[in-house]
Amino acid sequence: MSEYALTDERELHATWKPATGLLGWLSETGHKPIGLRYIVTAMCFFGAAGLEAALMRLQLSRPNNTLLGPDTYNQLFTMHGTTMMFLFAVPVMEGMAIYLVPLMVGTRNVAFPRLNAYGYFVYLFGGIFIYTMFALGAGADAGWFAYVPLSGPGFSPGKRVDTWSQMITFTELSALVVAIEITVTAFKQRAPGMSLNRIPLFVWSMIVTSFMILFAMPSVMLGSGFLALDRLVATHFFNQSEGGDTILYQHLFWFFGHPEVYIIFIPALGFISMILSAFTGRKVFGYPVMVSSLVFTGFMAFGLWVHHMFATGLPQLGESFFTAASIVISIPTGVQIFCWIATLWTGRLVIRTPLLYVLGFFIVFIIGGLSGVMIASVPLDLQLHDTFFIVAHLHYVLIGGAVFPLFGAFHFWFPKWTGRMFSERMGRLSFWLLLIGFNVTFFPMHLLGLMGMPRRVYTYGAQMGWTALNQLASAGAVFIVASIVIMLTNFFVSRRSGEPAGNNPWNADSLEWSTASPPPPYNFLHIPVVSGANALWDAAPDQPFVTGMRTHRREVLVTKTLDAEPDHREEIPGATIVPFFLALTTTVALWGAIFFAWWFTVGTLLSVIVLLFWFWPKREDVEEHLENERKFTLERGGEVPT
Amino acid sequence: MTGIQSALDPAGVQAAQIHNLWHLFLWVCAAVYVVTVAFFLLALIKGRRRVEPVVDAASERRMTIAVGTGAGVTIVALLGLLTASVATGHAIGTFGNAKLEIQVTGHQWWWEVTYPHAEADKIIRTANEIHIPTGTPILVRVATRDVIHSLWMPNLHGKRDLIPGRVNKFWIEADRPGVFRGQCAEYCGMQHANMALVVVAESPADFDRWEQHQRTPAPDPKTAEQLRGRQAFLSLPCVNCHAITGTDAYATLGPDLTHLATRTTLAAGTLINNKGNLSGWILNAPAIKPGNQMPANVLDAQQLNDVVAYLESLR
Amino acid sequence: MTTRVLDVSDLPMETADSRALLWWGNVGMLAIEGTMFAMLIATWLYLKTANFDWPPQSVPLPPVLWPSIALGLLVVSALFMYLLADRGAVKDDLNSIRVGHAVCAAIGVAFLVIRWKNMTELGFKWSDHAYGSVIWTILGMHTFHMLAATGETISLLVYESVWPVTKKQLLDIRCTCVYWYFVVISWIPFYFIVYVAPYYVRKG
Repeated sequence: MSEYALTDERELHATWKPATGLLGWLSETGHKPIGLRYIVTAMCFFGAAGLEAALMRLQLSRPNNTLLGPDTYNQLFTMHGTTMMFLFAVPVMEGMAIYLVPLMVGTRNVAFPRLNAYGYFVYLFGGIFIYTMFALGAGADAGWFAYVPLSGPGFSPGKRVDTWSQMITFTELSALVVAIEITVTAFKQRAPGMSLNRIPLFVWSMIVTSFMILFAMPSVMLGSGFLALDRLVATHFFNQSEGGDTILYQHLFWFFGHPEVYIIFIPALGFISMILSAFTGRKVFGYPVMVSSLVFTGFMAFGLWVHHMFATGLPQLGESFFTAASIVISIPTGVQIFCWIATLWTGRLVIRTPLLYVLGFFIVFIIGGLSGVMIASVPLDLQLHDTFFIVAHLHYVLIGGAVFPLFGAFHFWFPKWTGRMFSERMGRLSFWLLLIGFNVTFFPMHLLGLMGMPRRVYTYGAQMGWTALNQLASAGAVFIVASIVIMLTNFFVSRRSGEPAGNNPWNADSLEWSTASPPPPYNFLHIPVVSGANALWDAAPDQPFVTGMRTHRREVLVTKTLDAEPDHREEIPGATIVPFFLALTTTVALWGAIFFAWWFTVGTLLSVIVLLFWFWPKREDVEEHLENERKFTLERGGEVPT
Repeated sequence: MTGIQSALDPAGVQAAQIHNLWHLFLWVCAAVYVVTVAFFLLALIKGRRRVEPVVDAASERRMTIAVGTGAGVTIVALLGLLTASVATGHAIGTFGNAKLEIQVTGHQWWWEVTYPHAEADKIIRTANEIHIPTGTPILVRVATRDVIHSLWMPNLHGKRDLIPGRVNKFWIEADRPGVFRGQCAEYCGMQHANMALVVVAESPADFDRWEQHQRTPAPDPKTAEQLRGRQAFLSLPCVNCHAITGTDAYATLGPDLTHLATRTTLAAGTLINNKGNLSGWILNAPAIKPGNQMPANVLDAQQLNDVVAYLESLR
Repeated sequence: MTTRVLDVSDLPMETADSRALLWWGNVGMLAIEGTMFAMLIATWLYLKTANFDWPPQSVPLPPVLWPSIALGLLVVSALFMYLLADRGAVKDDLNSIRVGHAVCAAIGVAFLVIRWKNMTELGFKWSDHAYGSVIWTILGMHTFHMLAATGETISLLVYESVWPVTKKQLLDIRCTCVYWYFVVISWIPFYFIVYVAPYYVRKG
């Protein structure tokens, strides 16, 4: 072995440190700041959507209530669903992945840092876009899935639905960008020794999620694109009288829409595994089965979409297939739950707030999963579809299945992000308030649906007998709000004054816990070498690490896909403001297009110009490359042209 | 649980079959939940008691058997539910010859109801109310004039969407008399919340009487008030949208008013059909259902009184 | 205690093949676009089953000559791209690359001119009927990609004729070749849908 040089920490820091000031903020390409931006922005949208929900619950707390009129209410339920699904749930999971995946696989940044920055700005601008239009009285009002013909040019004049469909373009573009980054980072930049069977379960969940995003998003891009074209330039994709088809929209939307909920849910399954592992002191039971379940669920998610369309009058034989698929998909999730129970059974439990939220998942999500089995049945769904039963189901699976684990994850990784511990007492309080408040709000809705209350109604009559349950549901919302407020206060206060956390306060097993809290901009002083599926627990006292990487350039180690053997090194870009400008020109194209189609062309041309700046090599980079190649060849006894 | 719009209070063959299926699913799912959560809580207790995690090969093997058993039991239970579901779907979806056919056409935000007949003068047109004879299989065909709606009468059957360019159909059969309520169950715009209909299930004899009566043209005015009312109706904008058989009003944009006074509600189930509500509705429908297609009307007190008197005479 | 290290200073710093990060990113982008195209084809098939007349009677049968010439040119360009630019990048043969790019840029421009002519002579607009909407969307999306691919090729040609080319640029060139193949191959099913299917699919 040749003489090695331990990494020069100062030079590494100088190479990787983020730029400062406003210009620095706009030029940031580090994955940790960008990941945190996604999370913070998503939580802001969560708050907005929560306010929208609170207003709706206030309106529904009394029959024939006049607090909100139909137009306001219809915008509120549309914005609530749209914000939660597109501006909170998917981006927050993406943000968690962007922050955690590079750390968990043992690299310094995602594969495409500039693309990462671009994805964030596109998401941010998309959210600003729809909320600006909402504030200007053009809030979307056709429901979060905007069925035609109601959302078409004939029945929704004005810019409301145009805004909605174009916002989808922003958020889907952002999601696709993140999907590519996560996939490439997870497959090609893993630390040496991290073969496929040693990848942390959260990274696996993000790999599956990324593939799902790749194949699902194009469907909604087309669906919302066709809708926009029908509305803006008089195409007839969905116009029944000119050869189009109303149901085509539903197929295109739900082919995306069903995988979408799994895109939100599967990352949460990853959180659960990481948290359970740390707080039981053992690896999650049944690693191969867990991974297979994730992959199987990801595949099957694409075979269920028609269960959203059981009432449209499709042939019975086809519907039965989708019933079977919708029931079968609960099997891998069930198996995962059994494996986690086995992990708890044989582990040594330490009860802390992150674990509490994960335990909340079990109590809440399983109800949602079982109500899902119910509505997978066509006859039952014909009664329950489009009622408050569905509202109950979707919140049980999304809040139980995604939000509980997410909040657990926030508490779990808070010490890593900030270097400080949160208040355990406030954490427990926020958990119990959420568990109680959530069930008080949403359990009655199962009954309301069975008793005939449809969805998306701004009011109901006193004679229907729905009043008491609605009042109960509205009361529970108070607890939910309190829980969120306490949790956020906990985070805000503890950021400054919490106990210092150290590298690994939970004695957890994955690589992010081996570095400082918060991690330095370059993540690890030396890229680690991994010897087992639980990197830190399987590490030897003299666990090797990687040396020989350049420290004056932002360099990452690229390893082989299957067994993570070192393959080559690559330089990745540093801070640059070009992604911000590309996001601006993209916004010009998309926002402008709903007012005047030619803005799309203008925006695209501007984007092309910015892309030239993006891709054009820098003189000094080229010269250094040429020099390196010359030296590399000479050292190996090769010949170089003079 | 019981109610005039409740899936838990079946009054028809199909709803009863679905209700039975519901019970099966509810009990099986409840059992699965209880058992799973029991094991979960037990695991928490065991885990809290441990000093060290147990990861030896024997324990892992036991866990494998446990997880495998759980998966196996789950699969069997789910297969059972799947079978029951498909069987029920088959049962509620197939029927012999329907003795009666009803067509329901959705509009923003009211239900156009037609009882078709080969002879044109025997066709019944009404709105927002359906009468059906008990013990009789009935074919319901649904279509829409504008956006997607969904016809849902929970006491009788699950819902069916009304989709532009298509005619969907389903069978219902009431097995006891009663008055029930249906409601639109697919978001259709501003007044989706106020698009309901009344469903009256009655004995075949009562239904025949209703059917015969509905086929008659509108009764002629009997008082001076009613006569003035008819004249006003025919000269006001009313005739632009509403039809009354036996008069010169034959527009079909709005509900047919021929036998308005036999209907129990107005405005698609939003108001009880009485003099006060009818007056308010005629004067200012958009105030009651904002976004509604029916405009406010300008009538002086005398005209309003007369028109209402006439409409109330339309038994 | 000795410190065990894994020294990677011997590893190459750049590769221009499928091991590179950009290669995978490119493939990911093509997977996305390919899925979009597949769903467009699915849309065409779906609407075909929803319509008795497909294409509608008012749509004239499409021309055969120029679209087929265009298809042929495109396939030929893929060969040139592969043999000259792609193989040239592997062998670090700058002349091959330049010739390959020049030929493909020329074919690309010619294709776009023919495409323009075809689109203006289609005989129906996107706003005439659903068939028009689908066909124009197919043509529009593919043209967008063809413009991008041709533009990229021309930009690379300019760059490599003036400035020095390192392994990083060779990687860019090879990724652009793959993108070119995608644009060519994706056109084949679309060609059949737009220019061949109407002859077989229309009833009566």
